[in-house]
This record gives sequence, structure tokens and C-alpha cells, in this order.
Amino acid sequence: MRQVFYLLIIPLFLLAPFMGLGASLVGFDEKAQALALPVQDINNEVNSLGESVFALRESARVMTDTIVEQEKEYQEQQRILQELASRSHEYKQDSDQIYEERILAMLGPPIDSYRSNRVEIKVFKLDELGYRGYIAKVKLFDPGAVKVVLGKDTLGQTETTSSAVARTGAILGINGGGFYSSVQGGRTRIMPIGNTVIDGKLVNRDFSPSNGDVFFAGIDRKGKMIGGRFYDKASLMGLNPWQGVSFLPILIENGQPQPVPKEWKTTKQPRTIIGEYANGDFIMIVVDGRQSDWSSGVTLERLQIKLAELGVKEGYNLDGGGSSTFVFNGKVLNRPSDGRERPVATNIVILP
Amino acid sequence: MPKTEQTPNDPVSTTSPETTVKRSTVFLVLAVWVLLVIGGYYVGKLYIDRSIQSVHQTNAVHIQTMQNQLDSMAGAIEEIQLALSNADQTLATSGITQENLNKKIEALDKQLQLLAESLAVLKEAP
Repeated sequence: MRQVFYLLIIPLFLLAPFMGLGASLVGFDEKAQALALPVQDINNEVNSLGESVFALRESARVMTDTIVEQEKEYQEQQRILQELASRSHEYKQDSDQIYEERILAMLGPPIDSYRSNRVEIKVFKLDELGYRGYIAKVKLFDPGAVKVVLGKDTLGQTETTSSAVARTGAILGINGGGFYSSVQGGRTRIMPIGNTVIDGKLVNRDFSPSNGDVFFAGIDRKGKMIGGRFYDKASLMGLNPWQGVSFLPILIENGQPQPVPKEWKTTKQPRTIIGEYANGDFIMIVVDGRQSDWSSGVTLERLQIKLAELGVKEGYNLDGGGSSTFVFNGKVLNRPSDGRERPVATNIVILP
Repeated sequence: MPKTEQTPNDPVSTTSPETTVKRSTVFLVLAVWVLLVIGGYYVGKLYIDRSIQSVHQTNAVHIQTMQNQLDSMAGAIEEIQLALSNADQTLATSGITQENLNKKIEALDKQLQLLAESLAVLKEAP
């Protein structure tokens, strides 16, 4: 009995520490697992963040692709616009060219011409039934090439057209506005009729309102023709006149023939005309007269018809009679009716 | 165990055979006990080490997974930065292109006006 006791007790006694150790290790694995990092929640957050980031990356890609595509479209539109502008420019040139050809077809072949970077001049002979003369078509590239010149550059003085042309070194010249004699202080002065503008300044001391059919015609600072009847200084100077003279009457305005005073209508006389085509080119016409073997002159009514045929949009009658003179390239081309050039108060010259 | 014969001159042995058996038994039991302790130590240590190693591995795997995800996100963010930078440049270029486009439109408009004027002039041709 005692031995049995020892056989049971002693092993139990001996194994007691191991049993305690074993008991303490029971569930250790599960407890040890508790030491694992709580990554599940973090993982979920990271996954969620990752999905957002990847979605954002896709959006950024789409955005970039869209922008790049838009940039390409802009460039393509730019190319198309450039092409359209280029074509439009070509069509305009064609249109200008056709108009130029139509004008030239009406004027016939030029007898002389001149071209510089400031101006292009073509000179034509006018040979109609009963009258002869010369026409200059002037294309201005620089408004400064047109100049109104007082006789000897002095108000009250006179000068022939060829003298004014030679003195200023001009290539073309015609006589200018009308004039009248005025005795002041015992001295006779030749004064321009109406208003005369040179280099943007009114030459006559006081503005002269249009009286009857007296007009002012000239060019503005951009080289465009201006003209009409002006009754106050502000309305004239408001147009920024650069050069201009006065006479009467207006022949064509906005392409429409204007009423001509009866006393001017049917008389054949030497004439000087300045006008403008629709494309801005100027036309200067001098018609000889009072020479039955050469040219009898032309009535203003007939001239209106001629100007309309030529396609002139604006036409102004300048001083005519013995004053009408046409000088080109240093030579008086027409035959002034006085048999020689008449000194006049103003001349219009085209500088080379 | 054979019994030792005692002589009169021999000192009387203080250790009886029974005691010797008992001592041997105790020694044996102690030896077994020590062996069991050592064995138990190794078994317990092995068990604990394995458990901890398992936790370490699990943690390492999780950390590695997160690291990969973060690397992937970092790459995506770099791509976004690059895309935004490119977009910014393209937008800047687009701004200039748009300006040029407007200028081209204005130029075309002007050209068309000139063409219209020219055609109007042509209408008045003789």
C-alpha cells in the first residue's frame, strides 16, 4: 500500500512543475497572437486611400489627355484660321487686281509711269471727240507724297506749275484751286479762293465758309480724299485735312453726279479735275481747250459723264481755263490755252 | 547488493544497503526530474519561440504588404504630380495658343473686312 502510494505520489510530485508549466502554456499561442500588430483597420484605411489615389491618378490622366487633345484642336483651328486669312488675303488681292484692271481697261494703255515706295503714277492720254488732255492715276503709299504748294511758297504770290514741280523736286504736278486778285496796301496779291490747307494747317488767316458751290477738296493725314462744302472751321478741321484747295463745283460725290451750275454746265473750257476711285487711287485730269486745231475743251456735264464712265467715285473741278497745266517728269505735257503756262496761286504736286 | 562482511577491526558501516537503495532511488528520481526539467524547458522554449516567430512573421507580412501598398501609392502620387505638371505646362501653352487663336480670329476678321471692302469697291468698277 505504501509502495503504491509512493508510485503515484512521487511521479505526481515530480511532474508537478511540468504540469504547472504546461498549464501556464495552455492558450499561449492565442495570447501571443495578440501581440500581432492591429493591421486590419490600418490595411482597410490604406486600401481605401490607395483606391482614392489610383482613382485620382486616372482622373489626372484623363484630364491631361483632354488638355492635350484640346491643345491639338486649338492648333488645328489656328492652322485653319491662318489658311482662311491667307485665302481671304489672296481673294482681296484678286479683287483689287480685277478692279485695277477694270480701271486701266477704261483708261487705255499708259504713255508713261513712275513708281517708288511712296507712290505709283500712271499717265494716260485723253483723246476724246473734241477734246484732248492727260490723265494721271496716282496710287499713294505715303500721304506725304501729296503736297499743295503756294506760289513761291508765299501766300499772295503765284508760280507756274512747272516751276513749282521743279522747285519741289516733284514728279507730277497740276494747277490747284481758284484764285482772285486782291489789292492790299497798294499791292496786288493773288489769293486762293476759299480755304487752302498745307501740311495740316489752314493757310488763309480766317476760315472761309463755303459760298454757293465753292468746295474744299484734299486729302486727310491717312491719304484718303476728303471734300465737300464746309460752313464752319470745326467741321473742316475735324476731318484732319492734310493738303487741300478750294474751287467749284463738285462734279461727283459718292459716285453720284452733282448738279452743276448753269453757267458752268455747257461751256467748253480747258479743265483741271481731281478725283478719287473707289479703291482710294487718285485721278488727276487736265483737258486742253480754246484751241480748235487741238482741243476745244469740254463742258462739265460732259466731264461728269466721262468721270462716271471711268468709275470715279469723287470728282472736283479745279481751276481751269488758262491755268490748266499738267506736268510730268519735268515736262509740261498738255498745251495751256494761253500758249504758255499761267502763274497760279496754288499747285498740287506729287513728290517722288 | 551483496552484504559486506564485518570484521571486529572494521568500523561499523553507517550506511545500510537499504539506505543506499533509497539514496540511489532518490538520485535516479532526481536525475529523471532534471532531465524532465531540461526537456520541459526545451519543449516550452520551442513552443514559445514558435509562437512568437509566428507573430513576427505575421507582422512582417502585414508590414510588407502595407509597404508595398504605400510604395504603389507613392508611385501613383508621382504619376499624378507628373500629370499635373504636364497639364500645367500644357495649359500654359494652351493659354498662349488661345491668345494666338484670338489674334488669328481678329486677323481673319480684319482680312474679311478688307475683302468685303475690296468687293464693295469691285462692285463700283467701271
